[in-house]
Amino acid sequence: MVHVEKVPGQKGYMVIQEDGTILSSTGELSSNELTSNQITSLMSHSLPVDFNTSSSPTAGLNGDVNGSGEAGGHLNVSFSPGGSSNGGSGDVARGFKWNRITVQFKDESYVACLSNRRIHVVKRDNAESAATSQQ
Amino acid sequence: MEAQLEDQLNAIMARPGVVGVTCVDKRGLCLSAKGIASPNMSGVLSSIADQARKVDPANSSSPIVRLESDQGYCLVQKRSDFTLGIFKKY
Repeated sequence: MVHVEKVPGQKGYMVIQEDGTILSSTGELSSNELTSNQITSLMSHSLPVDFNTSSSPTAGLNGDVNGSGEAGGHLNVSFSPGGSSNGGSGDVARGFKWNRITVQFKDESYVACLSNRRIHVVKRDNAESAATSQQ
Repeated sequence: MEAQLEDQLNAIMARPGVVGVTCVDKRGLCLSAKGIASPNMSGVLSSIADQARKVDPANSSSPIVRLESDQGYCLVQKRSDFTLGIFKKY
């Protein structure tokens, strides 16, 4: 059970499916389909990076941008439980899986995590969350 | 001009934890890439920065995008005519 209401400075919360469908939402993100679609689109970008490669960049960058939001497609930046969603041993699978995306504006930020093929999005107030972390 | 850009990117690379840095122009073309950053990433980074702005259209400021994983993270921000991507290792 996720207790998102305990996240310091949270102003809204949303659970969306990979295709952008809103499963639940509260606060300022309540029924916010625009944010849902943009976050889904943002997470569909593929940017595999191998941090263990000291000099040469990842050779298998496919640059695939899946903006179509297909229901059957998987999120390329996602991190899948068991690590099998990419289903192969190619460069993308060997490369990097982003498991959290933060979009930080001046006053507030959006934090999106992918878990169990669902995207959990929290809108946070920067000043309040910073004050809490200093305590 | 290129020398100044290279100097700035080298200064960023010298910071602790930084393993890669790239600078992309407003068309998504790579101006320079160092460390693990690849010129192939430039279009994707530019697209990520553009997409992040649309998350909150009411907010006029340019957001910083942080892509995190278990081993490190990538910071992306778009300015008026370029996008900067910094890769840091934990």
